[in-house]
Amino acid sequence: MEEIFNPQVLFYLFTIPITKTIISTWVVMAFLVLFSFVLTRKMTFIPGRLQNVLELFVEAIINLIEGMSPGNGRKFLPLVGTLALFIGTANLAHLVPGLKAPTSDFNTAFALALVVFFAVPFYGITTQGPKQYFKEYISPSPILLPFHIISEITRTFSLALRLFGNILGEEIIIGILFLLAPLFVPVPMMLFSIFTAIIQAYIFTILTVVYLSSAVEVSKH
Amino acid sequence: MIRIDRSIILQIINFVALVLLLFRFLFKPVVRALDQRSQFIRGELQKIEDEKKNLEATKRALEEEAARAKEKYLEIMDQAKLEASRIKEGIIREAYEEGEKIKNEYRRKARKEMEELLSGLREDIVELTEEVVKKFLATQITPEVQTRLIDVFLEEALRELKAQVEAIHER
Repeated sequence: MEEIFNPQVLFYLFTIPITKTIISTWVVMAFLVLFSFVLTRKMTFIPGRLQNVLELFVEAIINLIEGMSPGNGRKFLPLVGTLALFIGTANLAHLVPGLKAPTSDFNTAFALALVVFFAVPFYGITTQGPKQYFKEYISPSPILLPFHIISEITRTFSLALRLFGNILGEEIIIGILFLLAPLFVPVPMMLFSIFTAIIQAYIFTILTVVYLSSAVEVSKH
Repeated sequence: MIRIDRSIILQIINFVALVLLLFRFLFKPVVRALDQRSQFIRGELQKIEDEKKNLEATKRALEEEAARAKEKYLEIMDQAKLEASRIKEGIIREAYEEGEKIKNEYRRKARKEMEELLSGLREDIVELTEEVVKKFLATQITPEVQTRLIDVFLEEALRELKAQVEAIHER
């Protein structure tokens, strides 16, 4: 049970524990970078099938951001696009034998949520300026300052826990089904997990866009 | 129990590295390709727009040219009509003057001939009268006969004179 929540430490790298999750993360990262490198190496003016898929994905992310925060599509694209790709791929990693979904480890989910937590004020301050950005915390009244801070912290935890809970739950169900009936019964659940993985990646991405757009939006107060 | 350990730092570093790597190898080239294509399409659309504007300008110029040509044509036509009318009036006036001249010429000739005829007739009457007087004297005609003879002679002379005048007029 302990290993389900906290993956086994394989070795230590400068006092940092290297778990199976970290190894899976590196595999996912390597896959994404290699895949991107190969696909974008020969970009043509008239796109082929894979280039079309890639362009479609990038355009979808830009449109998603533009829909909520007009004019910031290109600005948020690296962060939001990477989140969508990484979470989507990481959620599906458990389907590959020997790999573990990095997002089923709370450390990964929380790390991603922390990145969003720090990205929000970063974009907010660079867009609005520190004075205007922090003014939002005391508007419409300074009484609301603690609530704003609590909201920032809880939403970070909520982001992390939602992703972690769903993916871990999925993995546990598939694991149990494997134990009970290893041949065909887990297959529908595994197929369903593809759907869940994409949905969770979408939810995490869209929530990130919402937080970022609310941070860069100039207040009317 | 869920435990947060130091691996979270590595995961943050991993993710930031992934953001940078994907920005370099995925988003940047794809966005550049999209921009290039958009730029190309915008350029082509601009070209089409410019071509359309050029065509419209040419069309407008041609229409203006056609309007000017039509105006000039109407002007030339008006001038031609005026010229034709003036020439026509000149020809009519010349013809009328020529006719008047011919008419006057013939009238003058007719008057002259009439005068000649009248003078000839007067001489004939005198001769005839002399003959009548001679005959009268020769036959000693009565005054009644004499008067009747004179009337007959005068009527005859007058008829002949009229016939000659009409002949002159007809000519």
